[in-house]
Amino acid sequence: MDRRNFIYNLSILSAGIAIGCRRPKQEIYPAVYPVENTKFSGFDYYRTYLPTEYGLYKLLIKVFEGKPIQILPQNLNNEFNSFIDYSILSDTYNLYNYHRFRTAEYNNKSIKRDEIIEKASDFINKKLNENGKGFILLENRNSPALNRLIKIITEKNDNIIIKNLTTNNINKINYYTEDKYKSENDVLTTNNIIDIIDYNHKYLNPNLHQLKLESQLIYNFVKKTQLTTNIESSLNELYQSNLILFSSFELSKINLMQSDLTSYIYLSYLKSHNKNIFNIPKSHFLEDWADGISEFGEYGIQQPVINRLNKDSFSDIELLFEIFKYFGVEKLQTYPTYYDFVKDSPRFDETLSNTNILTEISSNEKNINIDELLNNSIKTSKSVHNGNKQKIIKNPYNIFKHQKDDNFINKYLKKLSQIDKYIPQNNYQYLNEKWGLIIDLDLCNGCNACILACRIENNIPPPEIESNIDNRDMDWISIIETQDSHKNKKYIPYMCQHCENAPCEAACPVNAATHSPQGLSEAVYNRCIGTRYCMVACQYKVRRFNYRNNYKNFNEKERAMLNPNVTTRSRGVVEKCSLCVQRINEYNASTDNEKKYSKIQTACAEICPLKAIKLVDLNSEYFKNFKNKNKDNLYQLIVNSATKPSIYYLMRD
Amino acid sequence: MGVIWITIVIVSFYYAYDYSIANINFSPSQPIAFSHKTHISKMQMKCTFCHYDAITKDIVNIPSTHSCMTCHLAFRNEVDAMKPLNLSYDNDSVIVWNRITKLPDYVHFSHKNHINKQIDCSSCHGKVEELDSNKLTIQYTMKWCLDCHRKPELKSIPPREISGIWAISNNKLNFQSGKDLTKPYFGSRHNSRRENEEEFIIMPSDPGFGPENCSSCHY
Repeated sequence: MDRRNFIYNLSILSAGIAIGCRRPKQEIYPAVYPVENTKFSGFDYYRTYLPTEYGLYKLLIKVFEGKPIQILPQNLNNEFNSFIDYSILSDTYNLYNYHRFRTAEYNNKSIKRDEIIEKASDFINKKLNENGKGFILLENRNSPALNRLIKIITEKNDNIIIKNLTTNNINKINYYTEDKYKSENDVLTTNNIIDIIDYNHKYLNPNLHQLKLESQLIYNFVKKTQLTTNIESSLNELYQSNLILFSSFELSKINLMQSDLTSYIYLSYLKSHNKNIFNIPKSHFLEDWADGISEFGEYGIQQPVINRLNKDSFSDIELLFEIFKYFGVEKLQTYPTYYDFVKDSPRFDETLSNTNILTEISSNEKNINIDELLNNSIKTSKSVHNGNKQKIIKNPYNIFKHQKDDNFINKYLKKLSQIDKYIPQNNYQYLNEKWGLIIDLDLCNGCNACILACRIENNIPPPEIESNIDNRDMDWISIIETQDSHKNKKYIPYMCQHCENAPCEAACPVNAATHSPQGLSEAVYNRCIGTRYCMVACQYKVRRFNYRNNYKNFNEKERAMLNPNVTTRSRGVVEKCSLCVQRINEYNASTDNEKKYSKIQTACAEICPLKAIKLVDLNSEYFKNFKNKNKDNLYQLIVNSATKPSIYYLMRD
Repeated sequence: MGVIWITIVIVSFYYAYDYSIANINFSPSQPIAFSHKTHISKMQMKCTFCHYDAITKDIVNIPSTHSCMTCHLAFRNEVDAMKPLNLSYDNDSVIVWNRITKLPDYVHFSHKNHINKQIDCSSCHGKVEELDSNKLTIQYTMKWCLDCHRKPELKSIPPREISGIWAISNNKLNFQSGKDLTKPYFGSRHNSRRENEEEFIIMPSDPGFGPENCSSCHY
């Protein structure tokens, strides 16, 4: 090519770049009405109560710009948190679930909202004429409004029988270990998967433990499940009657899909693909009004935090109310909406009825519509179940892995008094705080709540079945099961140790692993090029490589469930525990007055039901006194050389 | 001939850099020809009158139609230029603006923290009050951020009355002399106590050196 031609081509190319490379336009949408009640932090907190079969859960809901992000237990300031099921703590994933269906359907024909009640009651009438009797099955919720509704309905209609589906009976189930569980083929229900318990911890809430089973066991287990005894007697009647109003997704999926039932009304998040089934979308508990009573007689109101994402959806109380109002039950017709009915429930007339103290209504509600459905995740999970892969997978259901190592404590945990002898003196001076954790191993019972909280706080993607095959799991905390010298079971929360002499910092070629002036070992995602030298250098093997591009296909509306304070990492980046830097940065930026009264905690420490984990300033006098007191009981994780970790384990002899 | 070609190359490369990377003078067309000049310089409205979230939140709001209408109801104009505003007030529809200032997704910037440290809006946004149509005047790079974090006395502007932040302060920043370094890598953060500070009342803390460690912005 000539020199002239070269310059000619180059100039055309560069002119093309100059014209073509503009920054794309990006749109911003301001609110039409000004948003009131802005607080000093970006988050708002709302209180609700959730009635379930286990009792009344007290929940605190973290809201960012009107979107609920995280569900927390309510009494955070008390000594011990009340424990709440994992399924509820992670239920924001259900709220924004892409697979929730939008419109009611019957035989694959969609039905408009106005016609749902009409057609559903026609459907019920038809069935009643055929069989004479009708069954309605509901989730067992200790809700006064629901009980009152049931009373009103059954007074008038003799041919309708309403049953509460008690899926769980804690007294009956007793204590199961894995071994006992394998040997016996007991009659258990699906929800009891959560409630299998170890022998060692007698003084704890039996709900605390997660079952750890292999997939095939669970698979068999699910097949053999039957309904519990109080329903069992009426099962035969139920099969004959053919009329069911369902609200519990899990049970209907497993027990009744396999049975001979051919037609019923089905209220759930996901629609069933069987024929002759009346599918109605169910609303989430964060979108509904309801009420409940705990075992001790406390009364609580479940209030909506967000407007209904799907305007066609119903809650179970609402659907019952609307249908039987249409049937012409007189007592129900005095109430214009089901909200008025809930409001009029008996406990409202007594204490606290005049004040708004129990209700905090969010002022910045927004409407978000869920788009069309996708079937990707359902397809993959089915292929794994049905295909040949089932033999390869050891534990796909075992989301919370416990690594077992009986000699772990002897091998790695060393007493402080032993360590001090050979640690070289370090030159680092920390002028302000130096952060670290104290973990009480006597309190920790391996309940895995910290793992779940960490996932939600730090936008760690939910584990996929296929990634567990290749050991490509991604959790910043794991829990190790060991035995101590008395052969008692011990659980050790295992995360990044934030060493002072961190080997990963020396290994990184691009300075993506650095040390902060407050003692944190930082991971800088935008600098990381994925050489994985740090993973080799790390003695504790806590660094995780991101193999998956999880958030790439996320819908704009699905992104609402993510924590806005933490970035979503892309493929090819090494991640690890950051000791919740976003919270620490917020603390650093606050003024001195705010600091005095602020309670800074990491996500795992915040949610721990027994308060076994604590975030501590290692420069403070509190910690120095603590160290002097517990000199013989403090341990640290040491593998090969002196890394000087800033995480302390407390274990009494 | 050759000289012309070469100048074309150089000029076009310059513009390519200017428009695509630095984005200086980037000003997309907006639905309403809103002028900061008339509102700030003429009417003497303060920045935080409309952008009130700057004091309390990380991310700043764009004023809603109803906060525009607090004034514009009194002298409602049916001119073509005001049509989108009137429409959105009548129909509750949203005005769609085009974004000008933007940081990359992996940077966490908090307006609240900077204003709490008595740093004026104009030290990052330039002199918006002199512009009829808003545009980018500063290239936001990491070097530009760090320059100010290391030597704030050279670049940062003390709070002015027109921006409406911390009017109590006396327009002079007292930077602490000398810089303490922690041994590992980076500078430290200073939060000295003010003398007349009362409990429970949040006061601006004295400006100092910004944090320079990676995880203060990238996390």
